[in-house]
This record gives sequence, C-alpha cells and structure tokens, in this order.
Amino acid sequence: MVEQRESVDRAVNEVRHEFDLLRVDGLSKSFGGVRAVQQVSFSVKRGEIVGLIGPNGAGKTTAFNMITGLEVADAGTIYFDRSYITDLSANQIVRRGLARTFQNIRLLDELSVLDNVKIAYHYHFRYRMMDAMLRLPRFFREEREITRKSMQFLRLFDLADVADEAAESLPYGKRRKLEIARALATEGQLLLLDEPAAGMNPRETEELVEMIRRINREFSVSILLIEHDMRLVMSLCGRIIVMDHGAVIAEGTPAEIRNDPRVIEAYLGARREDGA
Amino acid sequence: MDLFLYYLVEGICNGAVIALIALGYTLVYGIIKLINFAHGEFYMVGAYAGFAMYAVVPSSVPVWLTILLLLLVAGIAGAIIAIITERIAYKPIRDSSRLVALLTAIGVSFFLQNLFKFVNSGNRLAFGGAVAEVTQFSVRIFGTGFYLSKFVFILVTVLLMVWLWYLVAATRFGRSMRAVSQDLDAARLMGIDVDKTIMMTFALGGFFAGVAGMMVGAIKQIDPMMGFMPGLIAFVAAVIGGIGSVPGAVIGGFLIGILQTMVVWLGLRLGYAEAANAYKEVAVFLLLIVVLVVRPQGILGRAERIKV
Amino acid sequence: MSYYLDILGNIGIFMILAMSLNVICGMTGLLQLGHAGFFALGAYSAGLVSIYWQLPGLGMVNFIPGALAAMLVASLFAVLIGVPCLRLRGDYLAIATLGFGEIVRLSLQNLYFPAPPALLERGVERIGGATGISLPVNAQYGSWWFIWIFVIITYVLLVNLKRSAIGRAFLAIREDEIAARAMGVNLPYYKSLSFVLSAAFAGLAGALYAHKQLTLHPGDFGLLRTIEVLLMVVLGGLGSFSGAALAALLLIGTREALGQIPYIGPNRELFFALLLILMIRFVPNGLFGLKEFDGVARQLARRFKRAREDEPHG
Repeated sequence: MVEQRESVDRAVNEVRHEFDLLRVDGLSKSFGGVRAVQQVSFSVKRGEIVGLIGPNGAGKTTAFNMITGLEVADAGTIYFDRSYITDLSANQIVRRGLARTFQNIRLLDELSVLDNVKIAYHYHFRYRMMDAMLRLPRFFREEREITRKSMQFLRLFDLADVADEAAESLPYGKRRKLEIARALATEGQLLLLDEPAAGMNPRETEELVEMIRRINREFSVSILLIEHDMRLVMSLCGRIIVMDHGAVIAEGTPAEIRNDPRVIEAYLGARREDGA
Repeated sequence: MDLFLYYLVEGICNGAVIALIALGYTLVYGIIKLINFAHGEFYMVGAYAGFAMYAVVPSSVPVWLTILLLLLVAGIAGAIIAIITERIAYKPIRDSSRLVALLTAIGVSFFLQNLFKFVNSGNRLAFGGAVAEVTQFSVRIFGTGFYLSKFVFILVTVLLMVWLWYLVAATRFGRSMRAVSQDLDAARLMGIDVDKTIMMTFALGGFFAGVAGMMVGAIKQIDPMMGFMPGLIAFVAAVIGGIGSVPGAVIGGFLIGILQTMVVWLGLRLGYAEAANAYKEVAVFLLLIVVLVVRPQGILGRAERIKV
Repeated sequence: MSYYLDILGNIGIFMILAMSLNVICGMTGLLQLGHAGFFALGAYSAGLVSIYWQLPGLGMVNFIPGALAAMLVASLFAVLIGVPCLRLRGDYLAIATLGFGEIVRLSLQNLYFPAPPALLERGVERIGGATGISLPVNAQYGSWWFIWIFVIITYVLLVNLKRSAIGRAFLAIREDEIAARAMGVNLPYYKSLSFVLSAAFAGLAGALYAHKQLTLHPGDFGLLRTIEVLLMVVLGGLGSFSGAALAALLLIGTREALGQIPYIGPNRELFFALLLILMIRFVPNGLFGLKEFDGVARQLARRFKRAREDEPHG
C-alpha cells in the first residue's frame, strides 16, 4: 500500500514539475547536530539563469553538493529533467545532464588542459579496454571525436593555445574558465556554478558575465549559480533565491530581492555579526 | 582447562609487549600522521643496547638492579635512536608528501637493520649468566607453571602506561603534544615549540620500544631482524585500536596478544597444533582487514569527514 | 657473460612489476603495499601448473597456460581483496593491502601441496611450505630476450591504456576524487579495475619469475619486495611507465654494481638503503614526472632549442 502511495506521489510530482528542469523539495542536511540545510525547496526552469545568494554559511554549497550527489541528503527530494535523482551518485547525475564547478576550483592539476576537458566526455566513450590497449580503429574513431569536441570548447574559452600545458600552470582566471569549459563539455542541460567570479578582477568578471550569457543562449543550458558579487547576480540572473541559516528566506526577481526587508535583514545582520 | 589459563596469561603478557610498541606508532601518527616504519628497529636497538650494557655490568651487582639498569639503558638507547632518526631523516621531509615520508621511514628501517647486520655480522645473541637464570624462574598457580619473567612484562608495561597517562594528562609536555596533534600550525602560533614536542614524542615512543626490545631480548634471541615482525604486529594493533588513540593502542595490543595465543590454544585443542602455530600471524592480519572494512577508524579512532 | 644476461632477465621482471604497480600507485594514486602478494600468487600458480601439467615436446608453449593461470589467480584475489578494501582512504588502504601481502606470504610458508608423481616415486609426499616449490628443470624459459618480449608488450599495452579514456579516469581519481566523481567517473569501478589490472600484470611477472628461477621461496615475496618495487615507481615518477622501467634498470643495476666493489660488496644492502633515503629526499618527483619517453624527449628538444636561440649570435 505504502509503496503504491509513494509511486503515485512520485507520478503526481512528475506531472506537476513537467516544466521545471530542476525541482528541489524539502531538502535537509545536518552535520553533527548543526542544521546546514533545512527544508529547502526551489526550482529552475528550462533556459533560466537563477542566482542562489546568501551570507557565508547559509548552506548554499551544501545544497549544491546534495543536488550533484556528492553529499547524501537527510531528507527531501530532487527531480531533474522529470526524473527522480535524489538517491543517485554523483557520476550518475552527470550522465543525466547536470554538471557543476567548485568554489575552490577542482582541476586535474598535473594533467594537460586538453585532458581536463576530455575527462568531461568520460561517460560518452564506448570503446573497450582492449580497443584502447591494442589501439583498434574504434578507439581512434572515438578519441578523435572527443579531441575535436574538446578543442572546440577550448577555442570558445580562448584556451586552445595552452591545450598542452599542465592545468596547474594556468593563471587563476584561466583556471576558472577551464573549469567552466569542462563542466560545459559534459553537454548537460543545467550548469551549477559555485562562486564563478570569486577572486576575479572587474574586467575578468565582465568577461565571465558575457560568457555565461553566451553559454545560456547558444547552448541553451540553464544555469544555477552561487555568487557573492551582487552586481553580477543582479545583472545576470532573471530570478534570485536567497538562503540564510540553511533555509530559503526569499525568492523573486532582482528588483524584488533588492527591496525585500528579510534579505536586507539577513545581510545586515550577518554583517553586524562579522563586525564589519 | 589449565592450558586455557596458561595461554590466556601468555596472551596477556605478549599483549603487554605489543601494546608497549604500539604506543610508539600511535603517538607518532597522532602527532605528525607518519607511519613510522622504523619503529620496530628502535625495539631492536634497545635489545642490543641492553645486551652491550650487560657485558659491562659487574656480576657483583644484584640481579634485580642489573635488570632494572638494563631496561633503563635499553629505553634510553631506543629514545636516542628515535631522536636521531627524527632529526636526520624525518624533519627535513616534514612538508613533503605522505608517500615520500612513508618511503623514507621504510628506508630508515631498512638502513638500521643492515647497519646492525654489518656491526654484528649477522650473529644471533642471547643473554647468559644471571639474567638467563632469572628468566627461567617459574611459579605454579592453580597447578600451571608460569614463567615469572612474563609477569615482569605486565608489571613494566603497566608502570610505563601509568607514567605515559600522567605525562599526557598532567604535564606541560602532554598539553603541547595534544595541541600539536590537534592542529600543528595553530599550536605553533600559540607559542608551542612544535619541533621540540615532535622530538620528545619520538623519544617517548623510542623509550617504550627500547624497553620492550630488552624484555623480549632477555627471553629470546637478539638479531638485526628481530624488530620487523613485532613492529608490524604492533602497528596492526595500533590501527585496530584506532591509530592516534593512546588507549586504543593498549586495547589493540592486548587484543592481538590474546588472539594469537588463543589461535594456538584452539589449534592444540583441535589437534592442529602445527598449523595453528603457523597461522597465528595470518589471524592477526585477517583481523586487521576485517576491522578496517567494518570500522576503518579502528575501535577508538575518530572518523574524519571529507570536505567537498 | 651469463651473469650479466641473468641480471638482464631480473631487470626485465622488475620492470614489469614496477609498471604493474604504477597502474594502481602511480596512475590511480592508491598506495598498495601488498604487491608482492600478487607477484607470489602469480609465481606459485605458474609454478604449480608447470609442476602438475607439462605438455611434453611443446617447449615454451608450456609457458602460456601457466602465465594465464598466474594472471587469472592474481586478478581473482585482487577482486576478492579490492572490493571490500578499496573504500578505504590513504594510509588505511596501504595498511589493509600490507596485511593482505603478509597473509599471502605467511600462508605460502605454511601451505603444502601434494607432490607430483615424479617426486612421489622418490618418497616425497608433499611440496611447499617454507622450503618452497621447485619447477621441473625443462620448464626454464628464463632467457633474457624471452622476458624482454613481455616487457615490451606490457609497456605498449599499459602506455596505450594510459592515453585512453580509462587512463584519464585513473589519473582523474589520483588528482582529485571529488572532481572525478563530478565528471562522471564511477570511483568504485575504476579503482577496482586499476587494482585488478595491476595485480594481473604482477601475476605475469610472477609467472616469468617462476620459469626463470625454477625454485620459489615464500621469503622472496615479503614486504621488502613490495617496497623495492614501490621505490622504482616513485623514483621513475608516479604515473610514468617509462620512468618505472628505467628506475628498475637503475636500481637493480646499482645494486649489482655495488656488489662488484670491494668492501662495499658484502654490505651492499646497507649502502643501498642509504642511497634510497637520499634518492627519495632529492628526487621526490621522480625522474620523469608523469611523462613517458616521448614527452621527455620533446621537453628536452624544446629546452635544447631554447638554449640555442638564447645563444648570442656572432
């Protein structure tokens, strides 16, 4: 009986969220008694650029980690592209078309820039270990295709000339770009960017905004991003979700958010606590 | 039944020695996260130092005083070799990768073994004279004969553990040690002399290992490879107890000591004495794998959360 | 002359061992201290196949079933031990595999097999234990070139693997497990695959060793053997098969050369240990880093070109 109820619930949810690319319901997570995320619900529609903002420690990155399967949620459900992905592991979720970048840039440092993008095609390759070891035609065919596509992305991000250099040798701005290129190369439908502009100078941030817009338009990829740079968020995002102390406290257009007393309170309160 | 008692007591005695060695692994790992593979060699050096000392102690000295002196000398020798090793081999690579540190430790272990092979030209040594006679004393309890020396193992181990507990809990050194193991950089900022604390930790571990080496050397033979297996077994004990945890090392040591003799006892009971004797070490490593799979952090260890 | 050819054969076996360990330790970045266990399983499997089941008149073809058995047995044990243990991180995995290696060695020390008919006739009832096992004399395929054929095959197969999506997945795990997962790499699967592959080639090295030495002692497969091979991997550069092979040549060569020097010769292990500590200290990133021969050659060529350009003209 209960199982049947659940499956009916699930079906109903699927219908209801037909137009949401990502739908998060009642997501919660605690770490040793500290409630990092509690009862968080929000959605991202196809083609949207959504901002996720909030003071430090609001639980934004933890929410990202649960959505991408790197951390297991204590409670709540996640639907992506109309299917239930709450219990899937990180590598399965990427396959569904949901890729991410990290706050503290996670590149494969000793590998070449090109290989860093090629890893994004990991789940596309079909050849067998024997094809690779014996260099059979199938291997060449697929590898050529992967290299071609990867180089396309590198050109798009102005990284083609450093394709053979080790990723660790790149300057900070290019490392950020490379990580975004890698996430985009998974050819997913939704990109989760965790503080993409952190540590960038104004000119680089400007470029980044342009790039994100382009990705959104040309590749019809939806974007959910965590960011502290309010100018960037306000100019880029059509909709903003605000979190504080692990919960969603507001949601709306940039204009609405700017004038929301709860948001102002959360930010000013946080600032007062910081002593700034 | 009396055989069971005999093997149980035997296991506790062996466990005491294993625990004593395991403490060194756990103290060092707790403080700098290094698996000090050369620790078994500190034990070996202790045995050799005791043997050398025995040659110069005049036979007019009462035997209990001689033994006390030998244990002390062995401990100090273990501490000195530990300090030298730390200063020359480990300190320069403290900021390198874990793999480099591990391989250096293994290299040091290999070097010390071969150094003693070179000095001793591979001969096995055994204590003679009064010490050898004393180790043969046995007492009868409940109709079973026990070597008195085995009880000395327990006595010495318990005394040293009480001393360690006092050191860690109630002294400045103990506080520094705990601070460094919590957060090395923060401890340095708080004005703790990190280098000295690490050195003292090595010395303490070396002292315990040296004493253990002397005790075992007195009842068995002394050779350059004698530290290898006991070192490995004690290391396993430290991991099973929860590496980095002092009470864990003690529990792990006794657990393994008893496990080994119980395997032998069971073999005797079931009529596979030879096989049981042969597989008592296999049992230890099997236990290790089972514990690691079921509870990777060991019995008393704390689990780490991986930060994304 | 035959002494040098014998060493050449040994070097070949160690090259395969070092390359096989490089799969798990170098490429995938998982510290494995039980490698000698897989080497031993391979050697004993091939040895037993050869003792019980020699096809007369086939000569070297008899090597094939033994080698296959060796690789299969090593792989099976790798699956058995890898599935539970590969969840462990860092030092803990190292310790668990160390435990496995010791279990294999200690078990072989106490394991007996029924003697083959030829020995039964002479009144020997069982073989094995601490004295080890002996292969029939006509099973010696230990010529250096025979071993080196397998060195080349191993090198080509593994370097090809490294430069494929599978190799990239291994390297991604080593560089950053979380990034690897976020890019779709199935960690348990690829860790196990790497572990099994590594064991299989260690098994092959074992088979070659068995047919070269003919007598196998459990004592030859202790922790020290693993450490020796690990040193080759580190000295060569973690992840570089060329480096691992070259380091095997250098280390074995150095040890044999030390043996030739008066006074040092009898105590060469002592100097060897000292050398190891110094090498780890001063070449911690290995000779080749992650590169293979071609990568190093290209780098040298570039440096050479730059040096020539920098030279003042006229």
